[in-house]
Amino acid sequence: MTFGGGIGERVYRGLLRLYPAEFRDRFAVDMVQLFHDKLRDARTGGASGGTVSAWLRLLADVVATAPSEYLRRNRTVAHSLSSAPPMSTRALGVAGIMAGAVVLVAFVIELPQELFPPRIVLMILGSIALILAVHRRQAAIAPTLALVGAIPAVLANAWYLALIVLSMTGNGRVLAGTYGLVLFWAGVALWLSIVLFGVVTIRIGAVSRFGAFVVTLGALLTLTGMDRLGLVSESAPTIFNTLSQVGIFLLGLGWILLGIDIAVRRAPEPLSP
Amino acid sequence: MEAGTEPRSLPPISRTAFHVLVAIGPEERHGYAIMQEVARITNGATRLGPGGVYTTIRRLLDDGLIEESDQRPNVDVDDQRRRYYRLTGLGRAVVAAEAARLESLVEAARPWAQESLR
Repeated sequence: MTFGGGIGERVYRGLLRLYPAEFRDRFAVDMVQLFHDKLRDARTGGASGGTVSAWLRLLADVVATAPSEYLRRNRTVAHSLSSAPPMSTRALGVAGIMAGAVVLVAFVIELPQELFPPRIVLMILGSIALILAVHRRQAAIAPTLALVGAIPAVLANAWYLALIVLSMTGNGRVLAGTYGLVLFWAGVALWLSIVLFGVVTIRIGAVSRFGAFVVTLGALLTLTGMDRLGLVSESAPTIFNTLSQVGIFLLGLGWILLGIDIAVRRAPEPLSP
Repeated sequence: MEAGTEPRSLPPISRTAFHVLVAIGPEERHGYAIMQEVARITNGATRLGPGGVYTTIRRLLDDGLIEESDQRPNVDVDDQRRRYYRLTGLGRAVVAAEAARLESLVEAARPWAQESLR
């Protein structure tokens, strides 16, 4: 067993533990192979300096790149193709801000009951716009996972929107008797799909993770306020009456945070190598 | 191509990223070949280690500038475990944009820089 062989490989594998686990999972095998290539070159004279020099360079390489991999984990090398959203994506982000504002305005101004459906329509249209904007940014990083987050959220929002529009036009009678139950399940799908969307957005990290967390928490708390779950009561308010209101507030705030992140994001300065 | 990803609107990329993209070029290359090619095209001025190569590859992959090739080398020629990478269409556009940017810089510097070398 030589220091360039078995022991050396064990030492190098130990050094690789300085990199983030996710990075090691993807590239450790290739890096070990490259480690052997470098040492082979050093032994056969294909590289300058010999084995000791090669080891020093490998050590310096780990010291120089491992910390930066933690710092730049969620940043891109092109600074980024997706870091400066096109105008169409920014416009969708603005629509998301409006959706959040529409939600929050009800906490400030006492709105008449008849404005409730149009407010929901505006909120859902803005939510769909924002989901599409976030998806555009996430698709370049993790296309499949981004779809997993976006498709259910868009479909559930569209389903809920269709029911609200039906109720507004008076055609809700076609769902007479079962309308409430259909709307309940549409609501469950809506909030759960937004929770999934939020979790995926946090995982990918292409936009504000804090904003995505606020949206996720908001959707979860809002879900508890659905009457058929039996957690809230108008006659004898429970803790969930308050929590669901907090959830709606957080949801509005989260949409605004994500919308701002997309609408005003500027391309960062180039990273040093 | 989206408005934000047209070559002229592409922001500058890091020096190492550009070296790796140029090293891959029109070929399909694995990490070791990329490392050797970077040393060759920079006349030995830049010698990347495994960390330098793969942290850059990771970000290029995540940005969609390169992709992993399905190709595996002939077992007689190379280790089949090696992963090969190639430029995407976007990667080529970024290289072209960066090359044009550097070319204009060189053009601006050439008249007086050559003077000072004499």
